[in-house]
Parts: sequence; C-alpha cells; structure tokens
Amino acid sequence: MKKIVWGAAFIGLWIPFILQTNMYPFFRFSMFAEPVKNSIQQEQFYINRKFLTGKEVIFIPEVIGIKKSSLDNLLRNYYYRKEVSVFMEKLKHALPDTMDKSDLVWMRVLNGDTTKVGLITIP
Amino acid sequence: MKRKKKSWFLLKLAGVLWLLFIAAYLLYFRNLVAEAYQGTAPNFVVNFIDWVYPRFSVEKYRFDLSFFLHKADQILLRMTFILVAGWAINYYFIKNKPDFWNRPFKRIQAFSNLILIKRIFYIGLLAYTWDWIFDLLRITNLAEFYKPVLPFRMLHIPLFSADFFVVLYAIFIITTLCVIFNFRAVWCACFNTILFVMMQGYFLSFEKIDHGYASLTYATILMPFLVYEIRKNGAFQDKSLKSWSLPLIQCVIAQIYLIAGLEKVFTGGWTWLSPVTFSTYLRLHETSLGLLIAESDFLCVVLPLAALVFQLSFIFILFFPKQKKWFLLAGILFHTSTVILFNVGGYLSSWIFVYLFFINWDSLIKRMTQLYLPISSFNLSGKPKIKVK
Repeated sequence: MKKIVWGAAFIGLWIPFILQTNMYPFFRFSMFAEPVKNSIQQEQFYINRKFLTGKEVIFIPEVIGIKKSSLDNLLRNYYYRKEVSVFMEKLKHALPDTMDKSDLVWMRVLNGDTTKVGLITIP
Repeated sequence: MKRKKKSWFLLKLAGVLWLLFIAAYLLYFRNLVAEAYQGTAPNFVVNFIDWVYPRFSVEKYRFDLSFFLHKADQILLRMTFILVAGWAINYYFIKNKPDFWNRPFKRIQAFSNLILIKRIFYIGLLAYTWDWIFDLLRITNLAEFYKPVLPFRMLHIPLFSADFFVVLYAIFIITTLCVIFNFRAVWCACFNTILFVMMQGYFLSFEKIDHGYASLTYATILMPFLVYEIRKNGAFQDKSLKSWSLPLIQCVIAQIYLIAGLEKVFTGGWTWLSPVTFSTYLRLHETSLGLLIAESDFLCVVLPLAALVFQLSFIFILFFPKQKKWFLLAGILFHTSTVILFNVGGYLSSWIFVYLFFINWDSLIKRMTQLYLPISSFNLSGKPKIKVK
C-alpha cells in the first residue's frame, strides 16, 4: 500500500504541472507565474451599482454569495463566451429580493479605456 | 555486470521511445492544437481539451495561437524534464548517496508526536472550516452559475439543496471530532477526507479554482494514512516508530513549493524576473505597500527573485532538518508578504498551518513545560508522570 500511495501522491502533484491545468483535487500552482507580455492580461471587469439618486458604488459580490475573485472570473468568462445577456439574467435571479432599486452596470477596463458591457435594472 | 548492461539497454530503449514520441508530437499532435484553435479539430481532441483544459473555451479569444502552441510544447518539455531529473536523481543520488537521500524517510518518530500532529491537524481543520456551512448555504442560490469541477463532472454530481449541505457539514464535523477523540478514527478520517474534498469541490465549481486551501487539501487527503499508522501501532504507545505517512505529507508539502517555483521558471523563464511582471501584478492588486514597491525596479526584481529562491529551495527542508526553522520562517514571511502586497490569502493562512507537520511537537511541548512549568517530564501519550522540581 505504501508504494501505491507514494506513487499516487507523486502523480497527483506532477500531472497538473505537466498538463498546466488544475485537476481538482489536484492543483496547478501557477499563481503569478505568467509573465505579463500582453495588455490583455491586465484587462479587468467589475460591476457598478448605480442608484436612482445618481450615487455609484462597486457591486459587492458577497451579496450573492461569491468572492470578488470568483465574480471577476465569471465576468471574464461570460464576456468571452459572448454570453453577456445570459450572465445578467442569471445575476438577476441570484440577487436577494430585498435589494433597493438600482442599475447594475457591467464594466470592462483595458489599456485605460473603460467600456460598458451590459446593464440590468433591479428589482 | 549483466544487470548493469540490462539497465543501460533499458535506458537506451526508453530514450529511443521518447525520441519517437517527440517526433510523433512534432509531426502530428502539434498540428491538432492549431486545428483546435481554428475549430477544425476532430471530436476526440475537442472532448479531451474540454476535459483537461476547460478554460480553453475562453482563453482562445484572449490569446493568439502561439500561446497555445507554447503550452503544448511545454507539456513535452516538462515531461522530458521530469524523466531526465528522475533518472539523474536515481542514478547519481539514490545509488551513490543512499544515506543522504533516504534520510527524510528513515527518521524515527515518537509515537506521541504523531498523536499530537493528528489532534492539532484536525482541530485546525475545524477552525478553518467552521464557517463553511454559511458558504455552502449561500452557493445554493447560485445554481445557475454552477459549473462542476472535474470529478463532479465525471460523477454527475449536482448542486444539492440547503438541507443536504446541512447534513453533509454535520457529518463532516462529527467525523472530525471522532478522529480527534479517537473513535473509529481511520474510517472517520476517510469520510472526513471525502467530505472535505466534496465541500471544497462545490466552492470551486463556479469557474474559479482558488488555491487558498491547496496544501491543506493534499494534507487532508493523506491524513487517513497517518491515522491508520497511529491506530496500527496503538499498542506500542510509549515507543517510537518509523512512520511513512508523515514523511510523505512533508514531502508533498515541500514538492508543492518546488512545483510552484518550477512553474515560474518554465512558464516565464528569465522574463518572469523582469520588473514589469512584478510591478504589473502589484498594480493590479492595489495594496498601499504594493503600489509603493511597484515604483522601484530594483525591488521588483529582488522580491520575486527571493520568492523564487525560497520556492525552489524549500525542498531541502527534508534533508536538513536542523535548519528547518529557517525554512519555516522564510515560508511564514513569504505567505505574509503575499497578503500585504497582493491581498491574497490571510495572515492565518492554511499554507502556514500545514507547517505543523515539520514541527516536533512532542519535544517542543516537553521543552516548554520544562521552561514554564515546575514539571520535569510529561508523558504526552496520556500517562502523566509528574515530578515536581
């Protein structure tokens, strides 16, 4: 058993390294490993919450139960999969009913330019 | 002599087979990457990529073909590196210096130390997961964003209801307590591992693999073997034993750092040490100290270089146990820096918590009690021998 476990642990560690991908529960440890060569790597997405009074705040993703890093990834993935309206519709369903009336505006920042990607009005 | 000839023949055969594999890659498999990028690849390639590299569906819109060809070449390069390094370690170290090489794996462990490690680990596991129930309940609202991780996809595991998660979490807590209090410890440790992996799998099933608990996950997967060893040797509580599971956990943790360092070397090479890379990452994470450091090219070379040296050298903690405090302090400094500079992780990071496997708790507690209590000895296996000074 000892040798099998040692072998499995070795494979579990090194296979994600070879294939350069996470294979949960085995991880690829590539945080900050990618050198910044393209401006696309500095691209950022976020959601702004715009109230009727004109006040604007950054949307807090914990409201729907996810972390900021997860929301960033979701925004990027849905944007590139060309599913902006699908995402906005899903977001609308995930929002709590108690939220005040406001607009959620999905923004994209690249090379200093900020563009609007999508918008939904809640409730 | 005959054996040496045979091993050389096998080595040459492996070399020839490897060269043939490289030729097949260059002539056939590499073109498949280009076809996948252009959307003309055969179905089995599309399915394979979807299975191992689901991010491809997004990344292909962000990067050009050369990025993916580089990734494919890297697979071959990394495989070659592991084969050559494995061969070199086997021939030059394991055979020529077996004592040095086997040192980490033949260390005698005090039985009481293993029991302490087990208890501290599972108490820590409770501390790190105490709020998971709230996170589990929260993600039940996100069913529409659910994109299961690989094992969930393979086993068709859906996102269950809140009631299911309450039961799942309750069983997790009960199994953790059972291991701590030694009730059916081996079985409970196995269940505990499955439940931990499952709960974390749910958190990671929203298109983001977070590495916050990566080292803790590896440790949790391997802990049942340590619990099994403790159970197996339970009759000899006062003695020491040559544990294989503890060195395995230590070896895995040390290799994680090595892999993280190698990842930087292979992915970026020397360009990774360019100040632009580090300063860009600092600017993207926007911490006050990070933004200050981003202004200095010198610091933007020295700090990532120090991180790289630390990650590549951490593996030596296995071979130089007397120096382990320096490695562990460097590790604490490294993880604390990532919090301060990038706001990634936390001060009570589970990455630091798993250093518990490198500490000899038995002798540490004995030393502490001798220092601070009027007790000259304390048997940690459960039979206190109190001698008042």
